Amino acid sequence: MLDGVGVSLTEIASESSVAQRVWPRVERRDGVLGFVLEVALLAALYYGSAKLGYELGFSGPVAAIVWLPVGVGIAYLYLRGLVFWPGVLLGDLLANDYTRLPVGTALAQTVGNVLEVLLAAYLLRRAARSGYLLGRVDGLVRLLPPVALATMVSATVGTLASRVGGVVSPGAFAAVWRTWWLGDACGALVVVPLALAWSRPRSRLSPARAAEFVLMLAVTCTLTGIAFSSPKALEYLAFPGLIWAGLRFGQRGATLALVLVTGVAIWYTRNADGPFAFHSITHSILSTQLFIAVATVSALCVAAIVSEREQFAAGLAESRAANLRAADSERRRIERDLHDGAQQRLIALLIRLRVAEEQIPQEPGRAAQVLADAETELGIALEELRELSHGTHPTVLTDLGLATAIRSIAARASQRIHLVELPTARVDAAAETTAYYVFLEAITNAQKHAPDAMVSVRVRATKRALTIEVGDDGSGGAEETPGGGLEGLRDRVEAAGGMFRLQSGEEIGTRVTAVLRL
Amino acid sequence: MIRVLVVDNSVSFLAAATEVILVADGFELAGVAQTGEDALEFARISRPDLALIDLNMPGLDGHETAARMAAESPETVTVVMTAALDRTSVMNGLFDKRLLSPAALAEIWDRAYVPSVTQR
Repeated sequence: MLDGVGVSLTEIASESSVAQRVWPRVERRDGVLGFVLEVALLAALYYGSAKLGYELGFSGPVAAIVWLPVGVGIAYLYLRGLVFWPGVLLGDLLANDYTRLPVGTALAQTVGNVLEVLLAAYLLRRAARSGYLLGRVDGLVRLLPPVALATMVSATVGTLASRVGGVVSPGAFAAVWRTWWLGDACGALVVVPLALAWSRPRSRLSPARAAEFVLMLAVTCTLTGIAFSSPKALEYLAFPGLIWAGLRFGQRGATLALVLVTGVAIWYTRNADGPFAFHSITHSILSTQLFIAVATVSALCVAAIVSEREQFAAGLAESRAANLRAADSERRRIERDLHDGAQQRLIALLIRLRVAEEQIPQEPGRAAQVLADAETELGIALEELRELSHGTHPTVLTDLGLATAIRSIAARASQRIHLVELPTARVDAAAETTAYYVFLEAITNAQKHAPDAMVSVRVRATKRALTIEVGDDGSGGAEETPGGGLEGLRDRVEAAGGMFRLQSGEEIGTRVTAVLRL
Repeated sequence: MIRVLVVDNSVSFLAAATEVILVADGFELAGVAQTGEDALEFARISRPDLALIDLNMPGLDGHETAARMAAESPETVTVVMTAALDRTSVMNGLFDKRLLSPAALAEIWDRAYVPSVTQR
């Protein structure tokens, strides 16, 4: 009946990862009209952001310092679904400046841009399967390659098309490609995290926090303004504001502050002010782009670390609560066992001894019988106390290890116990203790509910996990009840960061499985 | 003879209490029960004179069982016992089951129950 071990462990593993796969969630409006409306909305957003870029002087004739539409497109497709890609196509066609580019070049650039947005959104959605991208540093690490790769597609296609169309001279090819790539990458890095962070639900800020938020934005803006309106190399002045944003307001604060910093930096650079106003425009653009990229990655890292710390704190609190629950349920179990078992026997013993005392003068024979009964009762009470103390302080376990402890219990159990597999070496003490309790509780349950059943025990230790499985071939019917032994066991296993599963049925008997991390 | 019913979920205690009743003059065992429900049914049929009922039982507890028995079988004197005796339970008139003996049984019956914490 233990044949299904591998299967059941795989099932446990897949169940636990299901919960994380809720993001990104796509809600599509039903019907053709909804689809058309969304495509039109995306096209308008894309076109609007392109126009905004032109208006603010973010964009040159063939490449921009920061090309915002790519971020808008990726964010929309990422959040709402890849099917809305025609919106990107439409927006890009509308935004093209056909007066300055040959039509073929413009169309080829559009194809590159659409491919870029689709590829980035697709790759990011894949990357997001293993968790929210901004919430952890490793999420950020998964966010960057798709952005870098997809934007290279557009840079390559766009620059090639411009070269073929005669818009770019052979000597300028490399510089245009680089500017294009960094411009698109910066656009994605500024807009996509902003959209991701602000599309997640969040509780409202208190008035004091809201005031601090506004103050933070104002200070960030002012500092960046000072940094970029002076020709001195003061660009680092933007960082205190970004760090403030990341530390106190997480991803939302960091992404919004980044937009402001980026805007201010570009504004001054385009007006030939600030530390990046060099004689060569290419040099100015490159410096600004690198500044934006570094500022973005740094600020997102700070926010991700803060968020990781918060998640860790929440996990710690949860595990502490689970520990308390496990300790509490254990305490209740001991109380109950003491009350129902040893205490009652000792009371009975007391009463019998008193009876015997009174009987000795009159009926010594009868008194002797009462004393013999009392002796038996005392033996049982002692045995119960011993078992109880074994349950709380498994000295065999700490001294000789899990395998020996299980063997010693199995040897004196009334149940038939088949030890299929036991670990040959000692493992982590905490994991051993938890596994021992799983074994004890499962055996106790079997003794109570399936005394004639055969119990199989399999304990396997690998480098990463200690797995214990205790099954019987009884008629099943075990379930977790509040305050019951099995629920206490689940609390104990989960408090130790492990996985617990109970399977019980007429066909399969009862099987308890715990996987404990090593 | 005074017929006594003992109600307790502990078999050990039932056996010891039986022993006490067997040697106590003027008392005889009417029966034993492990749950309040069984005790009520027994009392309805055989009408014992005295019922010693443990407080702490799964299902119906001692108070509940005693209250129902007093209503259903008014001629039965009910006494609730506990081993977890504290000040409150003394004031609530519980009997310390550790003190059960032939003499205590006689005293319970004579005075229709006397709290006896001072006797140990």
